[in-house]
Amino acid sequence: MATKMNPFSSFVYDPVKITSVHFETQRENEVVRLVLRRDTITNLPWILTTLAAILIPLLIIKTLPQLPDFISGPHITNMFSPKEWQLAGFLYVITIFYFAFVNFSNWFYNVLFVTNLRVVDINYRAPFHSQTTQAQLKEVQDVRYTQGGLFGIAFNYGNLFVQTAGTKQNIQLTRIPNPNIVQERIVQLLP
Amino acid sequence: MDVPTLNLTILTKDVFVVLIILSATFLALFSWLSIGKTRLLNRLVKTPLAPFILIIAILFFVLAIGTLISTLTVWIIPLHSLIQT
Repeated sequence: MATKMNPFSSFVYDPVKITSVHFETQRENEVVRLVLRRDTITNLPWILTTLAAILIPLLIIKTLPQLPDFISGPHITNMFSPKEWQLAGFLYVITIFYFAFVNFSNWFYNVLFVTNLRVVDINYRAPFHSQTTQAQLKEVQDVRYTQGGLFGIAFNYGNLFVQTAGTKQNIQLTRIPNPNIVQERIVQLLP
Repeated sequence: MDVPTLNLTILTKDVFVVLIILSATFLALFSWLSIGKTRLLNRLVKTPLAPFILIIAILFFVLAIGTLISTLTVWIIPLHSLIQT
């Protein structure tokens, strides 16, 4: 039985696991060799923001009785009825979870597929913009990466640029894991 | 003739209510558009997680519509009856 790829992986090149990965325009004789997403660690800022957005109001509610009267006085708490407060709170919670959902989608659907024939970049910018760019491997002229910054060095991620011939759009993927290995693998696939 | 005074508490409450109604409307609209976008992206990238992500998007839409209806019930309908009286 073939081992399935972890759907949350950001760097897959295992030929056994990669068989479970497909995309819309994949051809019959086309085999995926490499799947790339932004490094998982780059999700940390929005995860922390979500946690803070959940925890800070809870802390405020807990410390409200200890605050000065002009902040926590009855004019604030009596402004809405308990039912109205519940509704406002529920709306706030949905908004936070929607924020997390959009950020997750933004990471999950930004994928670069390298196959035996071409490089396909599915680029999704939340909430509504998406773009698909592709380049035949024989059109690829240069593959380079940049790596820098404290977090880039610490967690080994960087930006990848795939330069194509002529006026065709170049492919760029930011903050991918192991950019040196990725560059090497793409260069190996070039005809 | 009495000069009307500005009640800051009522004004703040009104601003909050308007913001809450606007947020609920935008959330309902965005979550509806997200369903279409998720379906499109699930076609582009075929992954075993696709049905779960779509279910989450639909769940958001249902919750957002529910919240919008509740918001309108709590704040707009009493206002409407107040105007009529």
